[in-house]
Amino acid sequence: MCKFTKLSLALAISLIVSGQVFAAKIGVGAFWGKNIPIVQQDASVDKLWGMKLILVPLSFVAIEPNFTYSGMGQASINLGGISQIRDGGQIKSWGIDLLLGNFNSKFFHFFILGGIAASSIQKENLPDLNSTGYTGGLGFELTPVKSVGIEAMAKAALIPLQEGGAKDNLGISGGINFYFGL
Amino acid sequence: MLKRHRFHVLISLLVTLTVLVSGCLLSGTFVMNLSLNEMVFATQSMYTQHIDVTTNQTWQEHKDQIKDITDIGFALKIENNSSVTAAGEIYITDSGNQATPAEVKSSATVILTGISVAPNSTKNIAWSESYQYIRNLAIIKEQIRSGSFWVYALVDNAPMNLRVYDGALIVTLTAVP
Repeated sequence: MCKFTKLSLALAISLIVSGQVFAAKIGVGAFWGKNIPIVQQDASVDKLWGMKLILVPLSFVAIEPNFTYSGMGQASINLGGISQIRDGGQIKSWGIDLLLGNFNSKFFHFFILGGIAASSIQKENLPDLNSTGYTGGLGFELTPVKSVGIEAMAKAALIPLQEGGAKDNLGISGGINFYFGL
Repeated sequence: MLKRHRFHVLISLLVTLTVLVSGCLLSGTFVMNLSLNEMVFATQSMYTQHIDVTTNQTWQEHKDQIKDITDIGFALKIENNSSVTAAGEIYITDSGNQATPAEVKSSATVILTGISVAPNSTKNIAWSESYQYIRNLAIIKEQIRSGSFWVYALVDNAPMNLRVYDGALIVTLTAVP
């Protein structure tokens, strides 16, 4: 039997065994908050929003494919006593995060996360910059009822630029999650 | 017991990866403005200015860390006190030897064009609207990276009662500490 088949069987068995003590969950979520550009004089704090799918296959693992819109505010510079303003642009990201946390707990889930995202940095009058970025962060979720979660999260996004360096942003968001099949 | 151990290993890996990625990619974006002198065309049709980028404070702070120039804009005011519409261009080159408009046009690169100002009026071109006039962005980036360049402003039908003031080239750059 090839190695891949053995690995798949092992994974399936472990998932089934885990499933006997923890009921896997599926859900959707929406979140919104603030995007904070880090050391970026050509941007400022702006809105952030997004949506995600939530897959919780194991008691300590969740997988979240997501879309995030991050506004970049504006740049401002003082010239001759007059403030000159330039649109900071926006970032649209399609990503997937891996969360590790205590998802078997009934009322409170704490988690840390890491992931990757295909990001497009868009700014007026400039060509779009497309790059694969990295995410990392932490958060918690309260589940007052079984099928609803209220979430708060801090997530850093690092988007490497072609010529070197990166666009670094910190997203602070709150959100609501709905779980199905419970 | 095994599950807890696995959980700790995964957390350690994730934290290590996050720290590594943060350390590798942490960088900044900085905006600097390169001032342009006031240009008066009452007695001349061409104005020349040498710009030394290396004296700019932002450039000095990050000169060894610059990865890319990501954005270039400008801002300026043009006061046309003549009775005809004024139009002109700005050129860029690495030489200050051009003595006539014809020499400038043949050897330098146009970077701003399409600007016109009605008679007896003042035009403010803001940073956000300057992009419609910019040409040859790659050449401008190249000249800025060289640290020193010359700009030539040419005005059609000059000499005329016209001045350009409060001008600046606004440069956004990425630097990695």
